[in-house]
Amino acid sequence: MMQKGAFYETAERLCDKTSACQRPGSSGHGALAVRHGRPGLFLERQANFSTQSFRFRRGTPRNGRRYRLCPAKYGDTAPSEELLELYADQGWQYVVCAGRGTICVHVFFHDDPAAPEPFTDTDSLIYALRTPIRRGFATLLFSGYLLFHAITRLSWGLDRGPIYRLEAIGFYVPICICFFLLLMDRGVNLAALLLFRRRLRQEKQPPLPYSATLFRAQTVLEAFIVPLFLFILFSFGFSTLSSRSDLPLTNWDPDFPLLTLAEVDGGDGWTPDENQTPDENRTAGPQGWPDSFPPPPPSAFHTVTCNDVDIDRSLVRTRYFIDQSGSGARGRASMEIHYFIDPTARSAQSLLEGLEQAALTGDGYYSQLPASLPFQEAAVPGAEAFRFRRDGIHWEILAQKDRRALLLSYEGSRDLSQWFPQIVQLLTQTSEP
Amino acid sequence: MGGKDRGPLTEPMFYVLMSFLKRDMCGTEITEFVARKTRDRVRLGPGTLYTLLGKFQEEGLIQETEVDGRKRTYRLTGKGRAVFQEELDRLRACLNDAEEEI
Repeated sequence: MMQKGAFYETAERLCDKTSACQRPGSSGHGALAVRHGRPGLFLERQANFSTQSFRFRRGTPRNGRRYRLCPAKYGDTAPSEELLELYADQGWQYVVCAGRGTICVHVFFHDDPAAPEPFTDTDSLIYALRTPIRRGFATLLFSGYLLFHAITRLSWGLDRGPIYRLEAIGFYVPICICFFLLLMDRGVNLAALLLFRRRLRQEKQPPLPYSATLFRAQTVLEAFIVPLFLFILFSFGFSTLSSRSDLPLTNWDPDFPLLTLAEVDGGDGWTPDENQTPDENRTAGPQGWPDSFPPPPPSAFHTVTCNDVDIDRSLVRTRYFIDQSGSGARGRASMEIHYFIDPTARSAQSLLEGLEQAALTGDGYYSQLPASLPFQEAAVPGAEAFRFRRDGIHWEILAQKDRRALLLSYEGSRDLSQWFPQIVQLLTQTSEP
Repeated sequence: MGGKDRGPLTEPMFYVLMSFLKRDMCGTEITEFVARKTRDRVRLGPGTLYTLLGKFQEEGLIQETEVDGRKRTYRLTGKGRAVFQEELDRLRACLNDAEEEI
């Protein structure tokens, strides 16, 4: 039987409430305690994927049963033999090590109401709280760092231009929210501990509950964090498993009629470029390595794959980068296609506008043509938007139809206007992906 | 709690250190010693005792001498004896001050 509720909840809800030390000598010496609020339910273990939920089993009610928490030492996920021995000597039986975060506590129970409490003075309990509080500060700082890092990555993704904007939002915004909630959760956790210690120092009379309000806040936060975290994991796993790099075009079966460079520029003697491996050609080394520098180490050389596709899939967008090059009777030619399948036609239109803006602002990643060269509209049947510009043998084409959009860059001797209908055909899905 | 910038020892700390004066002790023996010595006025819960043993070890006041299954035996170090003596002197001074006034 699993119950939401926990160690610091009210007794009515289930079995949990922490009360603090009483002064030594007063009746029923206090401790970091868990009370059994509903007879016949016995704490069994912590629930999976939660620090706030626990599993209970039903049994014969025992009125005298008390649960007590013992803060674990740093790094302990199980009680030491000595701890078990000391508790067992006084009749306390071990149940579980609860908490997977800042507060890691060992839970013990006793059925004799007359047995002494585990913590018989306030000072030792305050000292025992040192480890959870230190870990609380550490995890709070770490959560802050994670959030800062996620925001930096989001900002970086947004600045990279229209191609990456949607993916940055789709991937990093949930991460930022998750880490923000985590930061809040850790903050609440630490605040609850500090508040508890402060009240212990003031030696108030029990019951001295661990703040139920803060506990509830933590429960609510965790209710959001766990599914969000699972979603992020799923998203990351999906993206990692379904993406590919340098996949030879001959091994790729796209869900649209791919326009190959061989078709556009082919003919007698057309030869696609071959991959360059380090063994065959040392010039396949790191790009931009200055001649004046000492030669790069052999490990810096890598195979340059030609006529390939990079596939990036995420939950919000599929992106292909199709790179083709070769030479034939008309000389060398190359064609690059950035191809996108967006979640909606509207986002595809927005992407196309972003790509145009990026090209017209001289962003070298998107365009090699002069920024001042405007795009021209062309009415090509089948396309919802079709724009192109040309500078000698260099062409750039932007096209969009429904959820699909592309940016095609061509360098070669062909008049690409003859191929506009085939380029629009690229935007037509012909099979299941 | 009688930390590195040591203040007075708490009562449980004082009695735990006292328990080691004559011989090495394990946890159960310490609990029994303190209960007997104080006629049950001071009782040591397992959480308190475990915390104090860990703290004393960390500060070098006691050292582990034997591990027999779950049972661990400790010995008072020279530093621990000095700390106990210092606290004893302080308590004697307090007592003398009080008796002079009575």
